[in-house]
Parts: sequence; C-alpha cells; structure tokens
Amino acid sequence: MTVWLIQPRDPLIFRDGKPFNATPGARAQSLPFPYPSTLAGGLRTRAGRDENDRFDSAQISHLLQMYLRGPLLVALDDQDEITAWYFPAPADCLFVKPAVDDEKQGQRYWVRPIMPPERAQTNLEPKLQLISTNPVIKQKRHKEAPHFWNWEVLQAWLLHPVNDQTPVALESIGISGLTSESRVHVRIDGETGTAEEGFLFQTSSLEFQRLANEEKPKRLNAVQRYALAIKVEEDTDLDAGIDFLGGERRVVNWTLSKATFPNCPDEIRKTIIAQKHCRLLLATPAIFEQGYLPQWVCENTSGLTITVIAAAVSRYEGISGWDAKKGTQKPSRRLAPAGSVYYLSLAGSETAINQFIDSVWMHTLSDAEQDRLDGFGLALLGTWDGTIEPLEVNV
Amino acid sequence: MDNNPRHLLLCAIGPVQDFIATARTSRDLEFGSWLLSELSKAGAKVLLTTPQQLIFPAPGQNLESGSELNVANKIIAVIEGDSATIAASVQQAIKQRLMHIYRETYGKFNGRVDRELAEQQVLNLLEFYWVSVPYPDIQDYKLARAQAEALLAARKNSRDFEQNEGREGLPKSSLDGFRESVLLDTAKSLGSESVFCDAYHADAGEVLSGVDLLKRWGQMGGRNFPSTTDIAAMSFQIMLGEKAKELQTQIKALLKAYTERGETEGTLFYCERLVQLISDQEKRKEFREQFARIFKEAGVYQRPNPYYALLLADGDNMGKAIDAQTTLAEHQRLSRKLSEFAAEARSVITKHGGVPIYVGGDDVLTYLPLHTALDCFKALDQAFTNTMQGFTYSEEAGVHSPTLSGGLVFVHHLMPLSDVLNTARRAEKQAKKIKGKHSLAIISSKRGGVDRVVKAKASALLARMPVLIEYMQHKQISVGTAYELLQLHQQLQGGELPVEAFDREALRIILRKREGGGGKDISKEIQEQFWVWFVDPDLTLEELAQEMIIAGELAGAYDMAKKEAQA
Repeated sequence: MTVWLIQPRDPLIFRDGKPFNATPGARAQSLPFPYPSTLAGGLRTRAGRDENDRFDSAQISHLLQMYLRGPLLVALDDQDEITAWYFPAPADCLFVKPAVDDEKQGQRYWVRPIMPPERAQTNLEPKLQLISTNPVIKQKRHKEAPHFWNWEVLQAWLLHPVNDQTPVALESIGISGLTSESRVHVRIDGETGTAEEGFLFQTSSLEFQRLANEEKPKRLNAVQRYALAIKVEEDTDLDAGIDFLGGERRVVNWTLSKATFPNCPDEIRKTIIAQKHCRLLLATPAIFEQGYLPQWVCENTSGLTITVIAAAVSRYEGISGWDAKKGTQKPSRRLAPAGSVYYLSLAGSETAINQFIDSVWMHTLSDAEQDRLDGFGLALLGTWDGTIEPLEVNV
Repeated sequence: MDNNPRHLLLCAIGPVQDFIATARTSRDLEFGSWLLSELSKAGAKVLLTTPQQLIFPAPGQNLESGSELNVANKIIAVIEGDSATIAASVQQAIKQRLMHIYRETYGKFNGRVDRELAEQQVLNLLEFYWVSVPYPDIQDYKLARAQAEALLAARKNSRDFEQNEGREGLPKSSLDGFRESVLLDTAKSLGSESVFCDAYHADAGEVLSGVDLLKRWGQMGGRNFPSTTDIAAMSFQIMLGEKAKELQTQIKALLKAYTERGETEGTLFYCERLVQLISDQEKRKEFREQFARIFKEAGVYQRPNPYYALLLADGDNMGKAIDAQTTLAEHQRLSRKLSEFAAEARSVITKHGGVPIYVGGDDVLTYLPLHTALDCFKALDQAFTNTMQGFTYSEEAGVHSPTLSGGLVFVHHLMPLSDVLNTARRAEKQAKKIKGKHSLAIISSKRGGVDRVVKAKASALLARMPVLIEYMQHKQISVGTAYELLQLHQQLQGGELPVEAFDREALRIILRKREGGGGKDISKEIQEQFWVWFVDPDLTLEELAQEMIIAGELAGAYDMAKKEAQA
C-alpha cells in the first residue's frame, strides 16, 4: 500500500449537499472535513485520465474497484514530510472544562459500559449496555475540546483510557480542526464588466493552514501547514501533480509520501488477545445497513463470534453526493460519525483474534462492499477488559 | 414487571438541530421552535392524569394544543405502572400530534408535492429518549433524580438510528442538505419564478423537503409571526406616524402592478426586499424609480433602519439551583416559578415591541427592535432575579440565586437566520465566560464591516450604554472620538506607559472635543464621566471605544423612534 498526500493550494470546499446555484444570496458551505467519497472520487478521476488528460468513461467500473483508505489529517514540515497524524476525537471520551477557570485546559474522562441501578429502564436496545463516565461526571462538554487528536495521544487512549487527574493543555491533545474562511463573490455583467446588482454569493471553505499556537503578533513563519493523507494499493497507476478537489474546482497537489499509516501497537494487540474484548474506533464515518451498528464485520470474521456490547455514537451525519456513473444525485444515507466507538466481545481462539486485528486495523468496515472500497468506516482498535461496572452516582 | 410501582421518568424529545438550527427564514425558526414545544406539550399532557405526577413542565399550565405556553423538550414525571408502557404512550401522543399538524398543513399547498416521500420524512423526524428509575421512597427524590439524569445522559451517548431510505435523482433540501426534495415542479415547469414561489412559499432556486414545507406552511395555531424585516421597520413606522399607512397603501398598489405576490406591512418599506419578488431586470429598475418617487412625494427622505436585534438568554447555574432542590415538592415549585417567569417574560417582550420566538423555562429567544432591546433585557433580568430569589445554591464564594445572562446581536434583516442564531450563540457564550456570569454580550454585525463585540456584567453595561447613546443622540460626543480612542489603544498597548498616563492621554482626547462639532467644550459632567470609565479597572479603553461605536449605531434607531435613551 502507498500513501499519497493531497496538499491544498487553495482553501477547499467540501459541499454539504445544499444546492448552490446562480440565485442571488446562494451560499456554499463546506463540511468541517471531507468524507472519504470525495477523496475516492478525486482519486478515481485522476487515475482514470489518459495521457491526454481526458477521462476515460469506459474505465469507471474498473475504477470503482480502487480501494481507498482515509483521508487522515496530517501536519507537514517545510520539506512536505508528515510530522504528525491526526484522528477524530473518540466518542468514548468526555472532555470537560476543569475546575480551574482556564479555557485552554481540559480534563478527559472515559465513557464506558455501565450497569444501571436495579430495575432502571431505558429505550436503548436491550442487547446494548448503557455507557457513561463512572463515577458520573455532571459537567458539560468543553466547547473548545479538540476535534482531532494527535496520534501519540490517541494511541495512549486506545491502549489505556484513564481519567485525567489534573487538567491538561488542549494543545497537548490535538487541534480544534481546520479554519473556515468565508468569501463573498459577485456576478459580473459580461457587457459592462461591472458587478450585477443584488447578485452576491458566499462560499465558506477550509483553510489548511493555521498558527501553530496562538502567538501574538501573528507571524507567517509560525504557520503550520496541513494536508490529507490517503492509502491506496501499491499498483495504483497515479501521477503526482496538480488537480482539483471538492467544490468550485479548488486546486490541490498530489504527491507520493514515504510515510506509512500507523500500525497497530504491539501492546494493544497483546492486550486485546488476552482480554478477548476490545474497542473499535471509526477513523472515518461508516455506513451500516442497520443504521448505527456494524453488521458485516460481526458476521464475516471467521473463527470468531463478535458481539457489540455497547456503542458510543453521536447523532448521524447525512451524505448523498453525485453518482458519476449514472449521472445523477445519489440517495441520502446516514453515517455513523467518525470517532464513534464500539465495545466488542471476541469469542474465539487467540489466532482468530490476531487475524481479526490484522483484518480490522486501518481497514474499512462499512456493510456494503462499495462503501468499504470508497473508504467509509476506517477502523482502529483499542483495549477494553470487558468489565461492566455498576453506575456510581454521587448526590 | 417491576413490583414497586413508583418510578421517576425522564423523556427527551428532538432533534433540536432539525427543528431550530437549520432555519433559513424567520418563519422556519418560529415554526420549528413552536413545533418542538407543541410536541413536548402533547407528551406531557399524557402524564397529567392521576396517578402520574408531572414535575416538568409544571402542572397546572395550559398544555392544550396551540396554547401560548412554550415547553422545553424535556419531560419529568413521577409515574406508577409499567415504565415502558407509559413512555410508549407519551411517544405515541407526540407522534399523533406531529401527524395531525402534518395533515392539517398538507391540505393547504398550492403546488404539487411527492406526498409519500414527504410523509416518510416527517414520520422519521422525531427522536425520543426515555429513562426511568425506581423511586420507592418519596424522601429519596434527590437520589432518584440524580440517577435519572445520569441515565438520560448515558442514553444519549448511544444515539440509535436506522438507515435512511433515500431516493436517487433528487436534489437535496436547501435547509439541511440531506433530505430529498418533494417539490414536483420547478420555476421552469411552472413558467415563472413568482408562480413557483407562491406555490411552495419557497425562495427562487430553493429546494424544500417534506419537513421544510411543514415549516413554511404550518399554521402555528393561527398565530402570525412578523418577519425580521417587520421588526427592523418598527422605528421607521414610529417616525412616520400617520404617514405610515398612506405610504403602505401606495406601495402595495405599486407592487400589485408588477407581481401578484404580497409582503408584510413592515417589509413594504424596503425596496430591495420587494424587488426580489419581480423577476425581470428592467421591471425591477422601473419599480425602484417608482418606489423612490412615492417617498419623495410624501416628503419622506429617510429610509428605514435595516437592522434589528435578536436576544438569546438563559439562566446561569440553573443545574446547580435544580440540584439544590432536594425534594419533589421543591422541584415542582422551581418548575412553577420558571413558568411564571416565562409568562412574565412574554409580557415584557411584547411591551417592548418584541416578538418572542421561544420563551420557556429559563430560556428566552426573541426578536426586538433596536431601540428597545437594551431596556427589554434589563426588564427581563429584573424579572428573572425577582422570580429566582427564593432558590439558592451554595458555592465556594457563598450562597447564590440564579441570574440571567444573554447574548444580544444587532443584525441586518436579510442575514440568514442560521447565521443570526450562530452569532447570538457566540454572544451568549461570551457573556457566560465572564466570571460570576450575570452578564450581557452585544455583537453588532454590520454588512461590510467586522463584528463588534462588547461584554460586561449586565449591570455595568446596562448602566453605561444608555448614557453613551444619549451622548450620541445629543451630539455631545461623536463616533469619531471612539475611533480615536481605539487608535490610542492600538498604538500604546503592550508598551511601557504607566496606566495613569494611558488614562490621561485618553482624557486629553476627550478634552479636545467640542460638542456637536461646534465651539462649545464638552461639559464638565461628561468629562468626569469619561474619567470614571477610563480609570475603571474592569473596563479597557478598547471596550469603551467599541461600546461608543455601538451606541452611535443605536442612537440612529433611538432618534428614529423618537426615544430618549435615559427616559
């Protein structure tokens, strides 16, 4: 597998499905991060061009088989080498403001399966356990909590999620995300060369540069550049170079990277095998036929009985997009968001669990094959000892 | 089946995002807010009959459909019987109310709609979470409530949903970008943009789903909600006095000559709103000329202020106050008091010419004209403090009662509602960051300019702003002075000048000024007032300058409405 970097030259727009047409006042707003299908479309379009840079439609069926993993957000140095990998914040972490009144700090608490008080009931599916901080933390989520965690911090969380005993600096965990930049556009009258009255349009796009920290005064050499990283098969026929990505034909540069996606740390592997339980984290959103619970991965792992014990899943996100093969809008579907965490029990031999880890780590797990090929449901694994503690509520 | 019959039941209804945050027009926002409240009332009504005991919303209020009462999307009750059965009946009542509103609305369309898809979208709209915990000993309310709240938070950590049955080949909603369009006609197929807009109550180029159509056509219990343009027009209408009606009649007649579409009374004063109803560019030009002629012949040379205010406020530390109520009776009393506040708040808002969008519990969301916004917040703040004074909670610094904090935004009447709401939330967040809360943040969001933000303790800001507005109204100080003070701050900040030297330099700027740009010195009283502000350790020069600039913007609205700031 090879890793490609997509470095934006312009701020990028990843459309949210709302129509954007030549009606005065129309707005094109970007999603905060691209869905895998946008990158899959960009990858396949690029790979499907002939030597004259014309797209060969006869290749579509073949191109749809290209397997993409990602995108992941990465930080770059001046030589365009990856200095940091970022992953969506895990949904099994409650990040709160500390008692100390400092916006730039926070405290993390692990959200885990719990046993509710006797004879308590909810309308959650009976087969699933509720999840909560334990003892219960009543504080609300920190509004400035990083949306992207750096790999070192996430790795530690996947291995051993512990509540922070003292506040931690937000910037030590990760970054809030990419900056949104708004622009107002006009429509030019072809005859007069002037702007037509009332024809204003607005686009908001993602800037892949931000200050490394909130220094004042702001300096250009303190800017940190970011890019998208995807992983494709070794034999993918792709050239480096300039191309367009996302809405409004914004320009990006494709380059081959020597980096590799993070591997499953040995300690996480050994612990999962020993404990016969794990957490499964979505690094990209997933599409499941039954909505919020995975099915294919549970039913298609030989030698292993996989049961979803609990699920940390935020409200669904919606996706549709354009079907280039059919030339029409795709139907809307619901995504389990990136960052969702599933608590699994793994009944089987150590060998089978080991194979499961290999088949899941940095692979895609959506239920439908095309969705997996498109990059939906990229997964990581973390440890969980399988215990379900009684809920502790302090009054 | 549980042998102990008594439980504490908590229900949460959503999705708030779909109901409120995806609004494009004021109607979308108003209807979404109204619908969520109606559904909550329908669910709560099920729990009115003995042996169930409603806690929140407080019992004894009018939970009938279409009543003026606004109810939050959370229901708390003590129940006897099987929790699952009772919760199911609450959910069923909510669904029935939703479908009733849907059927009532869908009989009214002018245009053709994919009804099957629309009904599927509306049916799939609801989210409903419930938890129940045993409540065997009536003395143990605090524990039962703490357990129930913890379980509801836990329940919401696992947001279950089914996969969507979407349809290919259809554009997506302009409001949420997810649901497919149910409109079977376009402007092209209907032959004209205005026919399309009339048929669906859509803007030109807009795509609407079944849920969106509900927002555009839903009747809201027969109530009429003014638009943001109507609110912005209020001060202009006051200025016009008796001339207002005559002007409106002439403009309506002019409009009729160009389009069948009508507009609200306040909107008639805004030429740029009206021209959007006319598709032909040449005819738009003609209309503009005729519109200007009407004003000229009436001797009206001013134009309406295009800005209005949106206030988003809620109680501070309400969670702590609720936790401090250890018995069921105390919690019910708090719940009733919040209802009393909400009723009084509606009256306060209406008295100030505002339009409540949502007023329930400790939450207030309302439009206000610029010239009454500050007074209204002051009155709401007073009402809330008075209502809550009987409820206390302990913190390190002592014993407190809940207070009100708010975000007040001054925005253009054409600014998309989703942006207005985001700005209001930003303002409220700024207010809540101030130590001790009980604060107000104001964001003035002008077109073609950066947002101006001021924030301070409510008492301080509400004391300063009317004084500054009066200075501006009487031309005793100018906005230009504010910019000079801002420049001084930018030039000297971060330097080594002692604080007093900084203050003296600022005072020197004031002393150089002449009232109204004429020959008269700034009065000693005003000089002394500025000195007090300059040396105030809780007020920076930059903040004061920004307050002055905003005061200058408000002074125009006050003048138009013939209102004195410190009356």
